[in-house]
Amino acid sequence: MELFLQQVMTGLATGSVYGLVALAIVLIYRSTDVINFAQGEMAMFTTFFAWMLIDGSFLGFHIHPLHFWIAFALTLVFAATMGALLERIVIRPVEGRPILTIVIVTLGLFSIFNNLATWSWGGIPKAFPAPPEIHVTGITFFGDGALDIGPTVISYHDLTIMVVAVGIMLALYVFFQYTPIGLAMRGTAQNPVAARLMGIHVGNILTLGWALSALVGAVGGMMIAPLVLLQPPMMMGVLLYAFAAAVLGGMDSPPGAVVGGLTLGIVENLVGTYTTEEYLHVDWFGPEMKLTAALVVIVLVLLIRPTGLFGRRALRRV
Amino acid sequence: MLRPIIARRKLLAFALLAFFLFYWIPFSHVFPGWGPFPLQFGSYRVFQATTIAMWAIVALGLNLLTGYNGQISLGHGAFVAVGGYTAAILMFDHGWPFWATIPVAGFMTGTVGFLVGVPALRLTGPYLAIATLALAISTPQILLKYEGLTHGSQGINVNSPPPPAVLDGVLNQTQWLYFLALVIAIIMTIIAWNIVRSRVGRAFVAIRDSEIAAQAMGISVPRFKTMAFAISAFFAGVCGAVYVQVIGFVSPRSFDVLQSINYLTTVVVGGLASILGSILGAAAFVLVPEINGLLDQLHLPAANQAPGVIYGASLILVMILMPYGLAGFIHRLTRLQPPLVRQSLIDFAQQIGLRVRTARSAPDRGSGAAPTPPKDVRTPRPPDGDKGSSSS
Amino acid sequence: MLRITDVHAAYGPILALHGVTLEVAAGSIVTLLGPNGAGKSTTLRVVSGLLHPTTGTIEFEGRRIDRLAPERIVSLGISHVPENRQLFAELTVLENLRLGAYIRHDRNGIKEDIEQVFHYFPILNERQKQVAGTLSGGEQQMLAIGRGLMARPRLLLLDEPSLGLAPLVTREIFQIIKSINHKQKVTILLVEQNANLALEIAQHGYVLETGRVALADTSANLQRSESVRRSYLGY
Repeated sequence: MELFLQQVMTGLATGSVYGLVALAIVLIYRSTDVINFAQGEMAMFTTFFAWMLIDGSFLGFHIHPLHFWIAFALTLVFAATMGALLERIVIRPVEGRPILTIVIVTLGLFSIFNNLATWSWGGIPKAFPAPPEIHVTGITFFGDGALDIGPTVISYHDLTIMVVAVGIMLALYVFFQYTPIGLAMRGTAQNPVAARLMGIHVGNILTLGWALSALVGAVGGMMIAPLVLLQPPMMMGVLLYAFAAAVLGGMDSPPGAVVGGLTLGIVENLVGTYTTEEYLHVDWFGPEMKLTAALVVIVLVLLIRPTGLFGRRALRRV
Repeated sequence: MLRPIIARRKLLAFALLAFFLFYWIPFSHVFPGWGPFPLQFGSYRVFQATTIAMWAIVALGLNLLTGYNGQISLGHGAFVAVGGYTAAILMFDHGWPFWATIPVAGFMTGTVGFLVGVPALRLTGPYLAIATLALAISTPQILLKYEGLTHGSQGINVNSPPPPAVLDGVLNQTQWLYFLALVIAIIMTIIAWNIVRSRVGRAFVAIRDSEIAAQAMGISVPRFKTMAFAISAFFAGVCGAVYVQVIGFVSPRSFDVLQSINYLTTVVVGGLASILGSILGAAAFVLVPEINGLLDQLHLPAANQAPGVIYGASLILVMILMPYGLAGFIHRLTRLQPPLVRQSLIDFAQQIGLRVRTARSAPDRGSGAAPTPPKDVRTPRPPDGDKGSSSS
Repeated sequence: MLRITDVHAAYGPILALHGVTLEVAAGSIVTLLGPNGAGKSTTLRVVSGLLHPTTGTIEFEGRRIDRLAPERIVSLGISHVPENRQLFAELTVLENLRLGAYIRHDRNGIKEDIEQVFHYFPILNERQKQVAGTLSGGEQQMLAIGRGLMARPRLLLLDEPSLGLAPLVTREIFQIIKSINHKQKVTILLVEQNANLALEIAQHGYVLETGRVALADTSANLQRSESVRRSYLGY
């Protein structure tokens, strides 16, 4: 039982990252119907940027290594800018074109970011630090320790991931529900023509969408990097799980993306643990099949709910 | 009076094409001094042509499913794997002759395709895309796991079939494989062309454009959608079988996710819902990496990682400049009239963000795949499409 | 207030307007009538900027607007309630109204206007938190008009408000439209299939046919005109 809970806990941590990246994917999908295949690579690229700042180098120049959270904040700015520029320069020219055309463009971006990262920083994995300790009123947050919660032990880093992820999600929620621009974004996603008639600059909204999405992805990248080592292929596995999570939760449902991510994180961990030789004595299934297992789960869910757990876009006007 | 002239021109073009395919590509290198490289096709080039023919087969099939029928598949690598492994196992473990394995692989894969198509009925758009992606991801894992059948990670090493006795001495191995792939590709192209022009093809397109309307016209949507998957998988299976003959080796690594994504890229870049597009896409896919070699020769700064950046950048550029793919672009070229030229220029200017904007369109995306291909009759739709508006 | 001069417009290669000329005086209600496909909705689209005319000019309060983007035109004081309402289906009634006021920044004014909309359409008040897509047809139309009003426009473009609505509801809405024009001095350009009702509340009318103005007259004359009655009023 302890093991089970432990795996669930760890699963929640990785699941938070899947949820974040899935959220980024859903953000763009909701407003533009585009599946951004480059999401993971963008996140990876911005994480490298953060690493540069923390490590003390910038475009080949030596600078004073920055504190984690300062680098974090600067990277968010960088990511948002990058996302906005991408939308303006690369996506805008193909806006309104068939969706598959735009999807291929994102695949092109995938290739560019992946190879650009390898070219700039090499293929050797780098260590990316976990958020450093902060002492507040005698309590230690973050850092290398671990926290006991009942029968489980959860590392501070895993805790950080979850806290940060939840924080971002809450911030986004407030943004979308309670600010005029957030409302405008939601409206634009549903009906861009009507949005224009309200005086909403749809183009700017789209740019903002991509900026936000890149930002969320960057957070995901920076959270998972300490766990898996920073290297160009870092986000590919995450991306697959993120897509799966987005689909599982419903491609137009941000809370669905989060739930999907958490679910997948847990499922992945449980399958990984309980299908080892110790527990399962079959030839045809094992821990190396955990990705397949996760995907089978998704397909099964989709068969029952074709638009994901929380998705709603099944309505079709003739 | 014009008809005989046009007919004669078409015949001429046809004859040239046949000459090119059946004679120039395989045999030109025999005549040194017949023009500079790359007009002469050395064996590497012949091999490239063979791969183009091969990929054209799977591209045709995928285009039938995604371009004509509107169902996105990111998992065609799985079908090619089924076909390839079927052929390989039949040849290696059971000693079948190569030519028999090809149709069997096709039908086997077609059946698998049908089985995939049934649950796929429930899914559309990104959901279908990710589900098929899941298929593609799982394929190498499954192939590795069930090594009793698939020989696991070591793969299956069949020997490419040698030229049959009657042609021995006339063709070398490379040429023989080229003709094998070419002939099969031509057969599959004819099949695809016939499907497109038949009731089935029209049903596919009707379903893509509006399932509900198609249903109202009496088209059985489930029947044709699963048929599309089955046919598409058949093509992929044939491609897999040919792959085995040409390459002589299959392993789980031959069918990774990237391949599946590449198939889709090929079809979109070549041109959705277009036979020509499938072939052009396959050609582009095989030949574009050559650009790196070209850059090298021009001594342009191309670090090791440039191939990926160049590839990505060219994908983006092609999609910006030719949103309907290569075939769409060619189609436009051959139909240019002054008003259309002006419109094209306006379109292009708009695309790169200059101030010639008309409203951003919000067309009904249906199942989310193909555009209105240039060939079909254009149903007039206001570019600022109010969803479902009548014209008044 | 609004002057459309010899406007031609096309959807790609298909010509929709072949030289439409009309005028809307400030404070009036003008109606555009005509059969399906005549170009009525297209005319509204051209005014609100969703479609740009190929030739011709459109002037609003003396200033040319035919090349402006819709977002800009809204801020100049024109609000377009499109055909089929085009609500934000997954947003609530209140959120739809708030979006209508997107270009405005005066919180108190917006609050007042929302109250005003609820005054005109009490049912919307009851259904404030309801998702727009779940409203009935009549309620949706009311919401669409209310949303259009939220921008405090000086010119309101209404595209077939009676479409798909029961006769009683339609009457109600038309009374409210008249009231909006009268009390708030909002000029209204009304496209309608229901010529009867439209001519009752309008002062002037234009009849469009295949992209051209076929008739232009006061609504009183149009109502009396034999050809209009036969062709559009059915008797």
